Amino acid sequence: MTKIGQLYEKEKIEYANQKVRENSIKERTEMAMKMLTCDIDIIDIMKMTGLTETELLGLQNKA
Amino acid sequence: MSEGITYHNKDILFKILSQTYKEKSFSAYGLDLPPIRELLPTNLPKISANEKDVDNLFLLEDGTYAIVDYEAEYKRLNKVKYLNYVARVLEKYYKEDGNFNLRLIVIYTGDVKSAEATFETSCVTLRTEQAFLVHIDGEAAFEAIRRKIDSGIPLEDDDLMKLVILPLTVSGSEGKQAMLERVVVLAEQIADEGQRIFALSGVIVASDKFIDREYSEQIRRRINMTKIGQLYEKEKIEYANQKVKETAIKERTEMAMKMLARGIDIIDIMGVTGFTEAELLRLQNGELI
Repeated sequence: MTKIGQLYEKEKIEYANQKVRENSIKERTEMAMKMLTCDIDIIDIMKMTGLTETELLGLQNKA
Repeated sequence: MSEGITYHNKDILFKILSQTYKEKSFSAYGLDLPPIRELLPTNLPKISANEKDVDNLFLLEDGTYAIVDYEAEYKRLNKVKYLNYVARVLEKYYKEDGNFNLRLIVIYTGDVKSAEATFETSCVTLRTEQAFLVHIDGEAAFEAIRRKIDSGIPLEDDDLMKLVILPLTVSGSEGKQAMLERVVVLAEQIADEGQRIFALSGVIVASDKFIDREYSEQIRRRINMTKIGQLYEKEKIEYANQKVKETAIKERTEMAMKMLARGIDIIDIMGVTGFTEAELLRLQNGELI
């Protein structure tokens, strides 16, 4: 691979990692919101989504 | 860049060139070879970790393989490197059909005026075919091509082949880099899109060995504004979208498994993850969705 190709490859992977991270947070948040509306136990939701109680209460207030 | 990362031959430039080198000839460099049929990948099998990739590997129209290496200085020791290249090409492409042929072309930049073409020992004779770009008047060639582009005269394949090695006709690192920048600017003015992309890709690949990392960043900024930059951008977005999709499915699957394990109602799991009942049942049975 050329040196310029390497620069682009690095940028491509960094961009993809960033997008994956952003999307992962968005997905987990959306799933947590749906779980809250299904009346699933908040401790279960915390365990499954990795979100804190404060974050979940914040989501609940937004919904 | 992290020095530990291994980059393979998936550079978009090689993808472009593998399609566009076809039928072009080396005659612009003073070499008498059949036209190019195909540009082949250069990530050949390695015997030890410190082996370098060949600069270019071509399949010619007559079925001959041609290793092309660019050198800015003549070193007798390079012949050992070439023997290694030859062994690796043979390992990958040699078939016992009696028709195999391999040629080794060394293109010397404007820094080298003469070199020994052969390397002999009792057990092996290595013959190289050499081109000395010092014999090409780079400035005159640049002007001739520029005049054609300015006048709207279509470029011939020989013009394009010459254009991509113009930075190498100049001696010294700074001279090469300055000419590379001029060629990138000139190539961007070529009206025919196919020729424009070939010239840009070709000149970057041919000059790669002779430009430093800092200068690569400068060239990249210039490339960003070209068609090649758009291709890289498209590839970047497509790659990211694909990764996002793959990760999203993986995360939703993991979430569905956690919910199933907790005995949560299947209708709620369907609502949260977007999976169908059949998909969830497959998951429950340890199958892939």
